[in-house]
Amino acid sequence: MTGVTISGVGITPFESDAERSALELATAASEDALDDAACSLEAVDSVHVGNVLTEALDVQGGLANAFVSAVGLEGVRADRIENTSASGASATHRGVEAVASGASDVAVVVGVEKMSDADTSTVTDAISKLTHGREYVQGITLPSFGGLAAGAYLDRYDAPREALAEVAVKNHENAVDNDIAQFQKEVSVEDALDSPVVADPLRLYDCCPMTDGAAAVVLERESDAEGVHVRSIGSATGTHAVAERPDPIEIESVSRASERTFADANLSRNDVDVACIHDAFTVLELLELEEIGFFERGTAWEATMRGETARDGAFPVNPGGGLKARGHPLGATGLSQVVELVWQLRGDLRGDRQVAGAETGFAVNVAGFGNNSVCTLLEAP
Amino acid sequence: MTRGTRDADGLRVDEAFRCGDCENEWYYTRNRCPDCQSATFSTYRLREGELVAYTTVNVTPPDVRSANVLGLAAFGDVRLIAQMSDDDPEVGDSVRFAGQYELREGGEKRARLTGVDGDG
Ligand SMILES: [Zn+2]
Repeated sequence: MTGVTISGVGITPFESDAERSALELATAASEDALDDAACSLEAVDSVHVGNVLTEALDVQGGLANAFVSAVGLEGVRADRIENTSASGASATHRGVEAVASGASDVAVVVGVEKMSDADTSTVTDAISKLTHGREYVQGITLPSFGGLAAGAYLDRYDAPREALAEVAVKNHENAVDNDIAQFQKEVSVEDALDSPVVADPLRLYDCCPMTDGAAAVVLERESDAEGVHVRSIGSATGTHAVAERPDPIEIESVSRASERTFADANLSRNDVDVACIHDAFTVLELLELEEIGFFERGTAWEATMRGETARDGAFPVNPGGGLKARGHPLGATGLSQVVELVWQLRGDLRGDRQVAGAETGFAVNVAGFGNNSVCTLLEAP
Repeated sequence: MTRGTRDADGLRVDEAFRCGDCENEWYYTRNRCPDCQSATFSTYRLREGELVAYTTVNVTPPDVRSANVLGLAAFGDVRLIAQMSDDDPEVGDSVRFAGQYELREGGEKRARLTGVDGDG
C-alpha cells in the first residue's frame, strides 16, 4: 500500500479538434479534479504535468510553469514529466511518490495533449522520433511495430483476423455511453475488416486516433482524505530498439512493471475486477493481457471473441472505450485510465456503463512500443 | 537530415557491432556492450539472415515510400528491422542487404533487405 488516496478526478471531453488550447484543457481538467476533491488551491504542494508534444509542435515551452500560473497556484513545486505515451502514468507515479514520501500533502497530477496543434504528418514524425536512430532511418512508425507484432501473433496462434477486429468492436461499444469519448459510436467486425490497411495486418480501425484532451487527479494521504486507494504503482523500461527483443510478440516492460506492481500490492491477477489496457493498436490489448498474466499466452484472442473482456464479461477490459475509442491524447492517456478506474471503483456510473461490483482496478500505460510501461493498482474507497 | 540519422551516421546499414571482450554482437548503436559493459568493440558486416516477420506499411511519413515493406530479420542473435526490396516476402526467407536506395527522401543511399534467392 502506498498510503495515497485519489481524492478527486477531472477530465475534459476527448475530441479530434478541441477549441481550447492545451493550457486551457489542462486547467479545466485540474479545476474539475480539485472541485471533486473539495480541495482548495492553497492546499496544493506539488504539480506533476504529463505532456509529450508541446515543444515538438512549437506551441509552448515550460508547460508546468505556464500551467501553474494559469490555474492560479503560487510557489508550489512543479515540473513536466515526459515519457512518450506513458507520460500520464509517469506523472501519476511521481505524484504518488511525492505524497507517499511526505514531500507533498496534496499533489495535483494533470496530463494533457493537443495533437491537432499540427498537421498529421508533423505529429506522426514527432512521434516516430522516439525510435532509435537506426530505426528512424528505415522510416519506421509506431504502427509498423504493431503490424509486425500483429502478423506474428496471428501466425503463431493461428488466430483469425477477426480476433483483432473484435477488440475494436468491443472498445467502440464501450465508448458509446462514455460522455467524454472521442468516438461514441459502434463499429462492426465488417467495418473494421473493410477499413484501409495501415500496417498489414492492422487496418485503420485497429489503430487509436489522434486526440486532444486533458485529465487530472488530486492525490492526498489516506489519513487526510477519502477516495480511491492507490494500492501500488510500478514501472519498468524495455529495450529501446524493438527488434532487440527475443520475440516480436513479447513486451518485457509490461511484464516487469506488472510483476513489480502486483508484488508491491501483495495482490494477484485474480484479485482484479476491471482493467484499462493500453490498446494503441488492437493487438496490443491481446499482447498486454497475456504479458501481465490475465490470460495464458495465445489465449486472449479467444477470450475476447467469447466476450470475456466485454463490460458484462468475466473480466471487463477498457470499459470506457480504451485508447481506441475514448481516444489517445498522449500525455493525458495514463490519467484518463486512472479517471475511468476511479469512476468504476466509486460506483459513479449508471446502468451498463458501470462494471458491477468493481473493487480492484488495474491500468497499464505503455511508452513507445514498450520502451517503458507503468502499471497502477487501485482499490475502491 | 536532422536527428534520426544520428545513431546511423557513418555506419553502413549492414554493419553491426561485436564486443572485443565477450564477442557479443548487436545492431542498435550504443556506447557499451549490453552484456559485459565493455567499451571496446568493432563493427562487422552482416551476411545472411532469416526473415522473422514482415509488414507492409501504407501510412508512412512524407519522406518515406508508401507502401513501405519492413522486415524483422535475425542474423544469428542480431535482430533488426529494415526496409525490404521484395514486396511479397515470406517468413523464413533467407535475406541479405543489397542495392542502394534512399530510405528517406534526400537521405543517404543505403541497402535494403532482399531475398537471397529473389530478384532484388
Ligand atoms: Zn561484451
